[in-house]
Amino acid sequence: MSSLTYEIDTICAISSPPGEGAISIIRASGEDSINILKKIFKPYNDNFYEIKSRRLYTGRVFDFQTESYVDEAACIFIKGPGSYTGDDMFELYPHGGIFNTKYILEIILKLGARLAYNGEFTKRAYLNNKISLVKAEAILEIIKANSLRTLVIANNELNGALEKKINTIKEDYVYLLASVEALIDFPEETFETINEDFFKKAGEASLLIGDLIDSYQNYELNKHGFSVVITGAPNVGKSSILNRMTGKNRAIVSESPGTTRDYIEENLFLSNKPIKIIDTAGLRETAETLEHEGIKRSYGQIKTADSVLYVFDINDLSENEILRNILEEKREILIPIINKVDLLKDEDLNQIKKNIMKAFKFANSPIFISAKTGYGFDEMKKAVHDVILKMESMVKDDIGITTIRQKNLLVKSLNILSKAKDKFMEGQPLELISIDLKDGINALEEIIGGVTGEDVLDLLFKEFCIGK
Amino acid sequence: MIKKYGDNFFDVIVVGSGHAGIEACLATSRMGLKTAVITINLDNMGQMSCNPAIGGLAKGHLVREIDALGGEMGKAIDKTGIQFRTLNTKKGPAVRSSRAQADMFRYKAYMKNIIESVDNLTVIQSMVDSLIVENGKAAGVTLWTGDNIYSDAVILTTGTFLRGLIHIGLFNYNAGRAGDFASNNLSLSLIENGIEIGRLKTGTTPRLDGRTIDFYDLEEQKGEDDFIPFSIADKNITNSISCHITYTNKNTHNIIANDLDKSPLYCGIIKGVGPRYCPSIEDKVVRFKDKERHQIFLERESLESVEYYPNGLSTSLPLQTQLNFLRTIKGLENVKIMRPGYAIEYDYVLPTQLKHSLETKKIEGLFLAGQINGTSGYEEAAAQGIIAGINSVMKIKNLDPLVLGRDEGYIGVLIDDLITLGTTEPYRMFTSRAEYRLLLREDNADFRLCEYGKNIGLLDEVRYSAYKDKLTKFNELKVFLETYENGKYYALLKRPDFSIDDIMPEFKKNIKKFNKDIISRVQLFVKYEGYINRQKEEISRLKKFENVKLGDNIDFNAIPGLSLEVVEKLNKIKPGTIAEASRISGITPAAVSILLMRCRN
Ligand SMILES: Nc1nc2c(ncn2[C@@H]2O[C@H](COP(=O)(O)OP(=O)(O)OP(=O)(O)O)[C@@H](O)[C@H]2O)c(=O)[nH]1
Ligand SMILES: [Mg+2]
Repeated sequence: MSSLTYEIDTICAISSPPGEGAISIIRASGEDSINILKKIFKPYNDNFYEIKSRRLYTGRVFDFQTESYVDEAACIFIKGPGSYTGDDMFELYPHGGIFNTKYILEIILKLGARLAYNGEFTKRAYLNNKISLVKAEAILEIIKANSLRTLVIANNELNGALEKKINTIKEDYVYLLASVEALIDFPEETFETINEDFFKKAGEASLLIGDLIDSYQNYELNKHGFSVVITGAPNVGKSSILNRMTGKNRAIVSESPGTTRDYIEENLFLSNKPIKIIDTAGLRETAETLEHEGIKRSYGQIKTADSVLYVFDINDLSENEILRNILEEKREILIPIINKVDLLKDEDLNQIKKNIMKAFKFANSPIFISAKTGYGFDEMKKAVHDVILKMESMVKDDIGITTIRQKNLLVKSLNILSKAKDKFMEGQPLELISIDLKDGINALEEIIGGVTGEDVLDLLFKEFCIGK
Repeated sequence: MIKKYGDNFFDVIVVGSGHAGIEACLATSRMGLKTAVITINLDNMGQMSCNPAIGGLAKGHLVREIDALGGEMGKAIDKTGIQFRTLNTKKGPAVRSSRAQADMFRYKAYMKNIIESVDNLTVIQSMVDSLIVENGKAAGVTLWTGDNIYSDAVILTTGTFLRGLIHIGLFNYNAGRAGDFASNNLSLSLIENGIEIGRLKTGTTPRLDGRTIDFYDLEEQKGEDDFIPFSIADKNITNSISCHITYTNKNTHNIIANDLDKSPLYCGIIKGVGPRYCPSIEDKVVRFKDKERHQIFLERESLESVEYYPNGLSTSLPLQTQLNFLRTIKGLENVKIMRPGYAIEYDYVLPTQLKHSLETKKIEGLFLAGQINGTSGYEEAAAQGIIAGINSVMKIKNLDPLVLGRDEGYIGVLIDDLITLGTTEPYRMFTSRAEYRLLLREDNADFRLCEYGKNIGLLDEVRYSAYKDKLTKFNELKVFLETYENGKYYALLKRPDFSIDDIMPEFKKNIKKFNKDIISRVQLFVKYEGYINRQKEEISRLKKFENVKLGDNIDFNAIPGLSLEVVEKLNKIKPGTIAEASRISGITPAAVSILLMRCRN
């Protein structure tokens, strides 16, 4: 049943290509467009309550959650049926950052729109008699292909595994619904363990949904590449390493410590793996506010790093508190780098290596390099690559969701489920809990496909001994 | 040439006088059409072939809806019931349901009396052998005596009688139910006319001699004296008996398990599909091995008889096995069986061949109602009976049929399910089948349907004015709560922890004139208003799709993008609208989108 309401919802999507640009385009279509627009967009001069169709407004983007303005933007409202889709529509043009655009989209979603499927704007156009059937059919192919492709991407080798996982959740849900319906429709039967089983299944379903929600972050990470953070004391040659790795003179290098203040990010491929390499401000105690801020950011980067290159100057291999702390959390992915080996003459590198391993108990053995000559860089790259492979093999399973749309639906489903659980515990009317559970299932259905009333009854008769 | 207006011509012929046939023939004759009701045995009109009870979960809703349209079932049970109870009182108001034990002899006597007292209705004891069809239209029936009776419309309500076959152990015989002839020729006539037929199975329990039951230690279940009568205009009911509860045990189950080789069900003799919600005791023992005991309700069939119905013990095991396992049960140690339990197989018409008016798509003027459409239960039968009766009249008078929406009544859900989904087991109503359960409550059946009953000319003045009076009082009390002290109590009532009893003392004077029924209706309305509005909103959004017609001649094979499975389902059921298509199981949202695109073309 819910499938039909899709056709009436107000839909919304980022229409500009992914990535950074000068401006982004966010597009919405549906009855609620005007109300949503009025809530998110405050024009500079005009009285927005008399908003005119097909007129460009400039103003600010308002976040109702924090009650603050989050961006400047232009927007246009187009009244249906004269619009592309035939519905009321708006287009919002915020600055072209990735984060702000996504954030604004999230606000619009929270204001009641839902994310559009691929091709859905065009589908609306067809439904409203704006374009021909031939055109619409072509789009339909895309819709189908896209949902398949999404699965393929999500599962890599394991095709259909995401759907299977969501189906498991749905089965748990249907079980919960069947329990509630059994209690309603068969009041004279005794179901001994029904309450226990209800909470058990609800718990299982919550965990599964939670896992899938978390998987989104993983996927995003994968998409953007692994992050390799270069850190260490000031002046050890971190920026020089970045420059040599990328082959660009991206970071400023100087002989005075504390040169790099804010972190610098560069993308590159390492044996076909996209990685993000980040040069950070050198770590030390400092009273200088700007440098202090930079160091704070360095720690932020280290925290989310997938791999850490901790750089020493070969002339200063003393142990320190800062490194100790980093090691505590990042031991497995930290690679000690000993720079400026060109300054050293006839020393036994193996002896140094041994001493260091003893002092710091590294998980990975130190690599000797020179940012000046390029010595040891291949070995360093290989070490990073090894860490990446190790990380990848540690990820439990590859099944995950790939879009915010899916994530939002899962979050919605999870919230509804925990509400339903509470209500069941409090002994609230079962017919209301049943409505909640159905809403929760509907959210999952939007990701994969339907559950009918018959499915619930099927399970009910299979699982519960019923009948007079 | 058919001679019209003679003794053998009627506007409508109703075949069968079970719970469907009774409502059908009463509706047509009360709406002024000359009607004949033909039944195999005049002594058994309104017979309760299975359990002696009316109502129950979702079924109580149906009875009140039938009453609101002007049907007889509610009035009959109010007058002949011997124990009345409300089920689910602890679970939430929207799913409360009424159930009554009937005095089955008085019930059928009441019905016979009513049938014999209405105008325009001719009662005939005979068996119908075939349908007369002319130019694709139903024109009458041929009796087994060879006589023809003609009409403009025929309503078949044949229950379990079509090629009925009774099984008791490995013994079987032809019968419509224990004690009545089966109708062996009519299904053939249907098949000849291109109607597709299937086979179902149902069963009933042995009947026990109450003088041999020891009730002393058994749990007693009493009736409720403040029960709200089924029929709108009825004022009171009488509780005259209690039911008793006992349980099966390990020994019972062992005896059953040991004799499964004598069960027609497990020997593969029975081919028809039985209802999952009403399994035989042998089925329960086999399928739920871990369950140590099953609950049995001992229900008295009539004040004028000692026969008891042991609810929960439907069986088709041999008579001796029935006796053996019964005697392992507490209270039944010395029991005697008066009638054996049995299973019955019968023909039914695949209901996807019907229109929402219950007229067949193939044969104009032929209407079907009750078990012939694959349902089970007296209430489901009666609900279809009254709709088939009404719509045969509408058809003859050239008016639009009465089709209730899924948001208007369980009757609407029932018929829409049958027609769009079909059924492969006896279909029983459940509240979970209704997506708008909060709107379709027992307490507001009259608010939902009395105007329909009035408009079509079936609902009598007494019931209609009772409804009007309730509606006025309801609004009065609602407005009072909304306005009294700025709606303070209205808001309080919305909280789950507040009931009207808690705030009653504040304004007792003001609401003294409202009775319990009205007060609880208003309370429910206030408490659920938010949810109710949400459901109403959803309905109005979906209404848009009820009107998107798919067209009769649409070729689903030719639509790109639909999976084979979906095409097969669509071809079989031929949904009339997008909304109907979306309710078919296995029709995905993507398929619905594709259809939407098509039918805009
Ligand atoms: N001889 C030699 N000098 C190097 C090498 N790598 C860096 N240097 C020198 O060391 C000094 C500091 O280099 P940077 O790359 O700015 O060091 P940094 O770690 O980024 O320093 P901060 O940003 O201040 O923390 C510069 O004078 C570099 O020329 C190396 O491999 N050999
Ligand atoms: Mg630097």
